[in-house]
Parts: sequence; C-alpha cells; structure tokens
Amino acid sequence: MTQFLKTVATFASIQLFIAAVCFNIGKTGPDSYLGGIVAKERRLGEGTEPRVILLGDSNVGFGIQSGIIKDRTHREVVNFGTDVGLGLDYALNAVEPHVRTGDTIVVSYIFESLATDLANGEVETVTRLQCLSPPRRAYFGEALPEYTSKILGRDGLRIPRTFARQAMARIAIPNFDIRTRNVASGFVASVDWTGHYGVPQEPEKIHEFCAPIDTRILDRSIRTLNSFCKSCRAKGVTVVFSHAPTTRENYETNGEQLRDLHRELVSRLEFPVIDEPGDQQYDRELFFDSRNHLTEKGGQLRSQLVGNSLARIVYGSTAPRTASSATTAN
Amino acid sequence: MFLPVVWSLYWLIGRRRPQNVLLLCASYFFYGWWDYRFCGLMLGSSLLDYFIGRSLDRTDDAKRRKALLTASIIANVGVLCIFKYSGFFLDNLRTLTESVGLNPGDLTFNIILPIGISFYTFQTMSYTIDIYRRQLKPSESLIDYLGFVSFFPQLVAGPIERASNLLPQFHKDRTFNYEFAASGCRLLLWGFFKKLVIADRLSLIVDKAYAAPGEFQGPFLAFATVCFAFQIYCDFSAYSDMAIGTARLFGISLMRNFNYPYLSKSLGEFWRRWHISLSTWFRDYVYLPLGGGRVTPTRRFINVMITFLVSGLWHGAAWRFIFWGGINGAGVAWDSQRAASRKARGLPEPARRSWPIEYLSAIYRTGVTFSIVCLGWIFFRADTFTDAFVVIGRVFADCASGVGFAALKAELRGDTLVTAACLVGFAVFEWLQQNKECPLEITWIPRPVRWGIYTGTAWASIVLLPLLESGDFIYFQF
Repeated sequence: MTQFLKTVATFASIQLFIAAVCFNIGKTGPDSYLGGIVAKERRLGEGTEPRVILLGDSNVGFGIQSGIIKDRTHREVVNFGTDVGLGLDYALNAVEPHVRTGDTIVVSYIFESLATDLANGEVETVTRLQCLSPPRRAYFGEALPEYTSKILGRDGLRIPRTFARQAMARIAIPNFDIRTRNVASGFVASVDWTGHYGVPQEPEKIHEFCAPIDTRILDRSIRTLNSFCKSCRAKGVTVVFSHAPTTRENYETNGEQLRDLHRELVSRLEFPVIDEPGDQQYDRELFFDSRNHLTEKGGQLRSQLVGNSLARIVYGSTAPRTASSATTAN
Repeated sequence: MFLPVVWSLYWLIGRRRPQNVLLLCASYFFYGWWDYRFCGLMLGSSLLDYFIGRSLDRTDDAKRRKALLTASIIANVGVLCIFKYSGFFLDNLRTLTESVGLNPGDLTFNIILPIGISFYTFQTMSYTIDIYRRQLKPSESLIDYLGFVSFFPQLVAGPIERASNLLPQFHKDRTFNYEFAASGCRLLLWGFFKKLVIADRLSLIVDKAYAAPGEFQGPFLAFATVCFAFQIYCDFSAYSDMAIGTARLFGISLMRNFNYPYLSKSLGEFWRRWHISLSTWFRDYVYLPLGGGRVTPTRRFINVMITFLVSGLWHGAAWRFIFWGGINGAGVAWDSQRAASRKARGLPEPARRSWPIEYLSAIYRTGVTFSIVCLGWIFFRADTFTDAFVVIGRVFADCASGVGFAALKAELRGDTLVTAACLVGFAVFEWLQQNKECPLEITWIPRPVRWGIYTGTAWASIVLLPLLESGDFIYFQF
C-alpha cells in the first residue's frame, strides 16, 4: 500500500508540475488582447468629465477608432470592446458601476453575441481572464450558475485544456501572440485594439456564416440590455445601440436574419438603435481576419459613420439616426 | 472527490464487514446522487430476489421452486417493462388500434427511465436463476448481497456481473495488491482516454451526419458510420474499463467486457468479444434454456434469432433495436449453421495455407465482419427507420457511382482531420496490443519511458478534449 501511495503521489506530482508549467506559459498576460481589459477597466474609472463609452465585443475593439469619435464629439472616449467569449453579462456588469452623468454609451454586439450561445460566454475565455494576475473580479451576473456548473462538472477539464493548448501553441508557433492578435499595440492610450490594422486577410478566409436566432437567448439578451439601460438612465447616462459591421457578401446571404434581429431590437429595446444592419456592410478587403474585424481603413469609415451619429446625439437632436438619413461612408 | 474518499476509508477500515457496509452506503449514495427516489426501486428489487433466493434454497418442492423462480422473473421483467418499455408498448398499441379504425384515446405514460435498471435487474435475476439451478448457494449476509447488486463501479452500465463471480469476493477478506491496483489505474487511464478523446470527438462527426442524413453524400455517411462503430466501442468499453479499474482499486475483480471486438473474423466471434457480460448472460439464461445448439438446424436458427431479438429489445425500446438484433442474429445463425453443417458432414478443418494467404484471408474476413457490424450499427444509431434506409441507400448508390468522395475529402480538414488521425492511431495501438487486457500494459518498457507514455495519454485526453455540451456515456440510456 505504501509503495502504491508513493507511486501515485509521484505520478500526480509530475502531472501537477506539468499543469503548473502549462499555466505559466499559457496564461493570459496583462499586455494581451484579453488581458487588456485590466487597462480598459482602469480607464473607465479615470476622469470626471462626461465621456463616450464604446461597449461591445471585438467588433468594437477592432472596428472603431477612438480618435475619430473624439474629433466628432469632443469627448474622451473609452473603447470597452472585449473578447466575444466573455459574454454579454461580463462587459455590461463591468461598465455599469463606472458610468456617470452625461456619459453616452454606444452598445454594439455581433449577431452571435445577442442571439446564439455566445451570449453566455465561453468557459475557456472566462477562465483565462480569471487567471490574470492579480485575479480579476467576476462579473457574471445571471450567467454565474451556468459557469459554475460547467466548471465543477465534466467541463472542468476545459480549464487545464485551455492552458495546455495555449502553452503548446506559444512553444510551437513563433510569434504566436502577434499572429493571433493577442498582443495589442497602442491600446493603453486610446484603449482601441490596433494590433492587426492594415493587414487584410485573404478574402476567401473571411467566413460567411450566420447562426439561426435562438429566441430564448435573444429574449434574455434583450432583458439584460434593457436592465443595463435602466440602471444607466437612472444615473443620467444616454445609451444607444449600433449594429456590428459585416461583409457585403454576408449581408446578402444572411441579410434577412440580420433584419429580423434589427426589428426585434427596435421594437423591444428601451433605447434607440442608431443605424440599420444594412448601413454597416463593407467590402471584404476592409476586414482583416473575420467578417467583424475591420482593417484600419475600414475602422476609419465606420468610426466616421458612428461619430456623425453620436455628434448629433451629444450636441444636436437626440433623435436616432435612421437608415434614410445615413451618409454612405462605406 | 467521491472515489478518493471512499477508497481511503475503505483501506483505512481494513476489515471485511465494515468495508462491505461502506461499499453498500457508497453505492447507494452514488446512485441516489442522480435521483434518490430510485434507490427504493433498486432496494425493493434486490430484497425480493434475496428472499426468493433464500426460499428457493430451503425447499425441494419442484412446483414451489418453479413458482418462486417465476415470481422473481415476472417481478424483474415487470419492473423493466413498466420503466423501460411501457412507452414503446403503448405507442404500438395506439398505432395498432388506429390502423383498425378505433380511437385509442389518450394512451400516454410518461415515466423516467431509472439509470442502470437494465443492468441491476439482470444481475439480480441471474442470482435467483443460479440458485434455482443449484449452481449457487444464497448469500447468508444481506449486506454482502446488497453490495453485490449495487456495487457502484459497475452499477449504471455494467459489466453485468454474475453472483458466482462477484458475491464470493464480498464474502472473503480482501488484501491490497500493488500490481492489481496498478492494473486498475492503467484501465482507468485508458478508459479516460478512449471516452474523452476518441468517443467524444467522434460523436461530433456522427451527430452531424445522423442529424440530417439526407443532406450528406454516401462516402461521408459511410465514414460517419465507421466513426459511430468506434464511438460506441470506445464509449462503452471505456466505461467498462473504468468500472473494472475502479473495482480493482478496492481489490475486487470484475469480468472482462470487451476483447478487441473489431478484430473478429466472424460475427459469432464478434459477439464473444463484444459486451461479453451481456452476451454470456443471454447465452446462459435465454439461448441454452431454449435448447442451445444441440437441436435441429431450424430450431437452432430460431433459438439464435430469439436470443438476438430479445438482446436488441434490451438495448432500447424501439423497433430499430430489434431489427439491429435481427441482423446480428441472422449473421450469427448463418455462421453457426455453416460450422454445424461442416461438422455434420464430417468435413475436416480447412488445411493451413501459407502465411501470406492466411494473413490476407484474416484481413478479408475481419473486413467483412466489420462491414456487417457497421450495417447493424446504422439501425442502432439512426433516429428512424427512414433515416437508416436513407443512409444505406446513399452509401451504396454514391459509393458505387463514385459520387461524394471529393466532398468527403473536403470535410476531412481541421478538427475532423485531427479526429480521424486520433482514430487511426488508436486502432493501430489497439491492434499492436491485442494480446494484452489493456493496451497500456507496457510493463516491459523502462519506467521513465512508460511514465512518459502514461503522462502523454493523460494530457492527450485533456488537450484533445472536444467542446461538448454533454458527454454522457451512451450505455447509460439502456
């Protein structure tokens, strides 16, 4: 028995050692795309003047340039575009405590973030973020039981899987982080992600895909967004929604679904939608790795479009901009 | 946490009786964790057979003994019928009454299928039947007997243990054996790998193809069917390996349930290597009582078919499973008929041929056997008969006309290619290690290398883990 216990303990120690090595190599660094949230959160708490907060997934992080928005609105801009895998609750709950009177928030999520499983976030992405040093606060909201059950159940194995895979990739692939947009350049100043701006992906690699709307998840997303809007309004904050960019081809293929989503949002959201999905279609060459991540040029076009709408909201009429009045910046 | 805690307490106690009490409590806790209400059902079923077993032993009156046995069988099969087959019977009754123009009214009976019910009822039935046949003495200790029925490693998906093998181990003192426990750990690790890497990865391909078979071409459906053959093997044999491995940590030996079945050269051999505990159960308690093979050829055919049709029904309450049993039964009957006919005509065994011919012949026969098994699996996996015939039609039509191979090649990329590579690697490793009980039995390799392989297996299981919403074992539903 003693020999057996010694053998098991030795074997387990080796596995723990490997796990620790994987964790150290594979963990998310504070200068990475995901780890940049630390700086983004810090920036949310700075200053006292009213700001424009760009809130959403990576379509915001990569696709809107804070400088252009600032030129149009003459306000400080915080780009809180985060990893789509964190889910809807995470970003909303992270921003909500920091908003102040006079702020304008532009919420922009891709179709999948609102109407498919992605709205709940991914265990692996959340895990990577939680293991940042210092440990991040959890902003799970309603999703907490879902995450907990996954982590405690069979899917708990996804945690070592996340770190082991990331560690293997870092060891095997030269410049892995740079290649996979994990390192941000210049985000501290503007909190935008500019890591891959100006490097368009080969068009055929930009997949055209739109999952069907899951009405149960969309209902929940709309409830969450309305609840967020209610808290913000109570603090004197304006909230608007803007659609995510997409390729012209994707709009042709999945336009009907995107318009269905738009109709649902317009009729059920308790804050205005400032554009239509059709306003946010761009040429393939303006995307660098997916149909939601714009290149630098694409980002400029989109930022001008959103900036003009915001200028009207901040300084002029608060009426939402409609498709008919949209300037075709793209 | 459950296993380390129970294991530590078990060996800390060190004495047989308290150990058996601990195993019994742990087993009921394990079962009750899923749904505590069904602990009562398992206890009731066990107690019934315990007391019937004792009564059988006390009487020599043939009529009374037969009545007691009948009561036990009716009660056990009745429980199975209520919980597992009532929906199936009512559906068929509704279809039948509607077909003759009658209105059957509201014939619904929604009931949860208690996990593992097919396994433990068969185990208790074998206990009573063995006592009836005077092949087994009833257990003196109720605790030992209840422990045998509910032994948690094999409770929910087998192996279906015989009382004659497992019960005596509950009556004996158990001592810790290093080699025995180490072999259990190897089985656990190999089961873990098979389930997480092979079965769960293959399920992604299989589920995609069988969700809408009409949308895919023949070659991809054939590939998905081969994937299902390995998925169900890796899934079920993984559970068996883990059950046997866990039992060994407690010093208890369970019967082997799989013996590299896809290397079989005939369907009869396949069924001697696949789900051995169930096949032998049906052989001993259905096939042999019907007369077995020592009867006329027609009767032998009927006996084999009855056994396999009942086995199909055991697997699931649907006509697809019965049909699956029929395909296998016909194949086994054909095999046994040929062997019996050769024997009856006094023909000598075929002369040994040169090794390349023998080798090619073995590959050919293994391939044919595997193809027939896969044909059966189509009915097992498809959601409906229509889907199964769509798969078969497309596989034969498209493969014959060469359509769809480009589409299959296009599918074989990314994650699917990784899965296919894992499958090939797994099949080759199993083939190389086919003489071992567990392919990880590599004790002749120096320890550092051996541990490297074990570590690689453990981490491969984690790194290659697919993203699934649910990774339950397939045989839990039976």
